[in-house]
Amino acid sequence: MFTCRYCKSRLNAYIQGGLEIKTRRWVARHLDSCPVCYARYLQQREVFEELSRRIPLIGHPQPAQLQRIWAAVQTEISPTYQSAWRQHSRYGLVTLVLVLVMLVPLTLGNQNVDFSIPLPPAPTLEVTDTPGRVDETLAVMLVITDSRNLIPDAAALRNTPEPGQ
Amino acid sequence: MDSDTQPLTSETSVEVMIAACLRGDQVGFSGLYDRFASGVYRLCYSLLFNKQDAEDVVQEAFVYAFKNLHRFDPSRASFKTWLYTIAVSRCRNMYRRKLLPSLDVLQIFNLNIAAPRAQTPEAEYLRRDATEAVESALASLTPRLREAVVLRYGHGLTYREIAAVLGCPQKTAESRVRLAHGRLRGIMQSFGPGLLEELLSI
Repeated sequence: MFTCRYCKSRLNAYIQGGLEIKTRRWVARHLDSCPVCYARYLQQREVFEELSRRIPLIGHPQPAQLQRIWAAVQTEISPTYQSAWRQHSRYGLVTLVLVLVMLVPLTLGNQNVDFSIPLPPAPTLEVTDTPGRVDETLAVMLVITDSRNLIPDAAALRNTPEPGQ
Repeated sequence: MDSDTQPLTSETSVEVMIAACLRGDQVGFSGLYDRFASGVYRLCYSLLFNKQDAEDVVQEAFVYAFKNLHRFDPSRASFKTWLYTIAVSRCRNMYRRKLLPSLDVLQIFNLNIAAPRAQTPEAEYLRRDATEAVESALASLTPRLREAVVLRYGHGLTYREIAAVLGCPQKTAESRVRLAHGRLRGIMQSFGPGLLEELLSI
């Protein structure tokens, strides 16, 4: 019984020629001596031949079908080339727009276009000597004043005598 | 004539066609399609049993293969195996989506057994029926077994190639073919002396 089970498990490979020589000889000898296994072998071989003959016949396509599929495949794969071109042209368009934007100030007749945001005047530092402290000649007092106060009136500047006068 | 635009004949190797495709030569694409389309269609139809679905899957498989041709590594598998792997994967997606309805094999086989024998004018009709009967028997298998048996008997792939296409160990591929073979034999013999004898007598 063990040998029949062993033979049964190898019948398929035996029929398809997938056994090593030693095993193949063993199966062949057993088939010669066992009518049950031999009958099973015949059935299995018939099914094998039938399947090998019939399955390749299933679903043979018509030429028109293949043509239709090919047309669809072509339209599907052609967008890859088209999209590549589109991609390149898109980059080119973006570059062109950027160049035009950069050329805009030049085309406006060298007019300075000030895009800066107006800020309040920044405070300035004024360094003055302290007249009351003579011994400390290097004493410095930092006076923070509004810059508007530092800008002298043009008329006052004209009236101010020079140090040598 | 420019070497880039040379027509590809049936003897042109697949490697040459792939190289042409990678250069962007349309002739390479059509050459590969002509070489493999029929086999891929048969494979898809044998797994799906629906012409429209098979056409859709063949189209998807070729489009994917052509767009990803740079990923194909000839040192790992042949182009045929790679293409079949893509097709089987798409078929799996398809019958996952559609949940392939199981056919009533008993009814179909009973109808076949009632048909007349070979020597009559109905022989051609019966021959066609016999193929349809095998088709129905295949449809009754689980998808995994069907894939294995179709690749083995329908396309003559080795167990190693079947394993590569199905993404399983070689031993698993062998056992799937053996199991499928056993199931098909069981289905055919359960109507015996009917179907099997009927088929073999044609």
